[in-house]
Amino acid sequence: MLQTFLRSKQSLTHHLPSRPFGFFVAQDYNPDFKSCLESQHLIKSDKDYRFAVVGCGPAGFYCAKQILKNVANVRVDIFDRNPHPFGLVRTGVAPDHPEMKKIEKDYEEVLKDTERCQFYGNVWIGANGGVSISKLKELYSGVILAYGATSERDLGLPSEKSLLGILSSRQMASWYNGSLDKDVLYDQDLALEQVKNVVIVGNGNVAMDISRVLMKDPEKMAPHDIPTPVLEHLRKTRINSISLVGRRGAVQSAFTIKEIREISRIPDLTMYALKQELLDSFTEASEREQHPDFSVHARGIQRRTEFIKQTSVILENEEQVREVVERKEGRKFILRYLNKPVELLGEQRVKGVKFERMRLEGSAGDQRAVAVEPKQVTTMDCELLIKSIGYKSQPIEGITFNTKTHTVPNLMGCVLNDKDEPQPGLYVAGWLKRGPSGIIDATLRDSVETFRIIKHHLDNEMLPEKHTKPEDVQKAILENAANHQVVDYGDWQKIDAVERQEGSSRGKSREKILHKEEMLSISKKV
Amino acid sequence: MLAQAVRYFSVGLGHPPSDTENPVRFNFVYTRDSQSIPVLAREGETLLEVAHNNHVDLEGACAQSLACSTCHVVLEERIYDGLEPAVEEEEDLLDLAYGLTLTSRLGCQIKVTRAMEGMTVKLPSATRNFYVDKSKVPSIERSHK
Repeated sequence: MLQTFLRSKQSLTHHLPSRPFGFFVAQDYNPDFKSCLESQHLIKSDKDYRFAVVGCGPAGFYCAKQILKNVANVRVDIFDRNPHPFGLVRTGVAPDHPEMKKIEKDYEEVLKDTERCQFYGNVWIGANGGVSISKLKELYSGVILAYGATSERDLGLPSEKSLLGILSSRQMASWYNGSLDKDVLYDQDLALEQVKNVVIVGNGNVAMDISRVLMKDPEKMAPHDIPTPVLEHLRKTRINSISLVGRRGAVQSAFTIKEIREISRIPDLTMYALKQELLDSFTEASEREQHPDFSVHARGIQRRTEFIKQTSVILENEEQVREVVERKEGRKFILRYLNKPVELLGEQRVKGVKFERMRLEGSAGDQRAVAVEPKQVTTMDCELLIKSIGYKSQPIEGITFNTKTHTVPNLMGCVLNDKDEPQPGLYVAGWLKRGPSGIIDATLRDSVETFRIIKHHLDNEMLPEKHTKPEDVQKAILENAANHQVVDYGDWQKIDAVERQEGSSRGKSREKILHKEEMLSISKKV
Repeated sequence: MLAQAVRYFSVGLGHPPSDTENPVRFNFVYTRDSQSIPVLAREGETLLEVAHNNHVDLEGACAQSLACSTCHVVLEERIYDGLEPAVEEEEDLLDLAYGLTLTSRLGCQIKVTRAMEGMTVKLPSATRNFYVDKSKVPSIERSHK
């Protein structure tokens, strides 16, 4: 079949030597190879297209990559409110997971394609002096919203906003990663030197990241990119216990086994769980959720549950919990289940949380936590409460927004208007599209799905041709803010070089710059 | 010369072996698209490296560090059974892989051997999963990496 095909497509393959089954190797390629590869773009239209991506994190990058690989005559402009690219890879991935940051090398290759891809850093899109969505629609054939989630879900309890010592997991990650969003007041609010016991509500992977950063030996993290001021605070921190509280049962734990395994290996740290909370976790429905017949991921769930059961020291009751927490030696990591926070205690700073005991109700895959009757209340003491119940996206002016799920309504990545009609030319990808959960693999597949719709629109000539030039984009940015400083890829490389150099002089991979003004002044230098 | 081909980040040498290197020949297939992609491999290369060298679209977000499952592959039973079992770290990541099967492994952990000659490797998480009109592309499906 391939032989016949080869013969019939002379113009494309005349430079290839005849070979059985069409194998060819690098050395056979002649200068026409470039055009041969180019001819493999899925969309070969003569038309000129321009795409804008709002948000330069994983979702934005994967969309840009898909477009650049598959569309012949295209330019992709990626905007970000920060002067740096990479989004949560820089401000979310924990500082003790440097291998995950390697993905930046992959993303850099997209930015290096400066003929076809431009980074516009330090540019706000939307209301309040930014470039509007309608302006972007004028300049671009398509606009992809991939700006993620910059807020968090609340517990919805009184005093939540007034008590000190209550932070979201997003704020914690921003703090230990040196995010330019200065929304953590260390001395007043976080003040780790005052903290002995921590309660974390929510048991996903970010909760695990925070636990590790608080309990690991700071010297182990020192050689990577954790900011020096953060390291200095951690060196003076002596956390005694962390209670990780899930509203549902052990089988519904949101963390992955990789993370719990890592926690269990931290020296001088013991993992605990409560006997009755574990027993009550194993409803018939939960057992079903772990059965291979239920889903292909059941095996993984079972491995995780087994690990929890085998590795935790089992405590009989609250009294034993208190006894363990009061011990002077060793650090304690306590897995709590079937507890929901109902009251925050403390006058100026939080000093404890009251929880109501839950039980599971519902069918496999759909179990909910319901309060037990009669009410059972537990108080957990703490000087720091972390809400790890989810990041939350925010709306952007000009685009419909689902205020329940905090996502942009869409059909496989094409934005829907308020009448539920798809809007060709407007797309969404990443957490803004599907909600703020999932690892990088999910974001990758999600961006590919969005591209599939874009491709469908391109194939059917539903997107306008555009010839927008960089000068046109600059003009649009400066229209709203006359002296605005845009950071391009070359500028980022200068900032990057300074960070790596500073890091190198301190035995670190990178010393992150913590102030936007500093980044901007470096990028201005010739 | 391969200016466009090497433009995107990849693991491995960046090009497949030549005939004189006595390569192992096998096939990748995208599950949503039955077209088989013949590739050339050097013994000892990981399946992810082979994919990148032959410009097959398989992501490796963490560059073979056992920190993600984007390079998830599905092997033929006979090949799967002949391999050393996965280490705990790989099992942990496989638990999360999209399209997980009983013969799934991470492509960055499998090294090519002679016994793999002629095998077919399925790529459930490959990013090139569009229907391809075969009359419009050259004979060998190559994508940029």
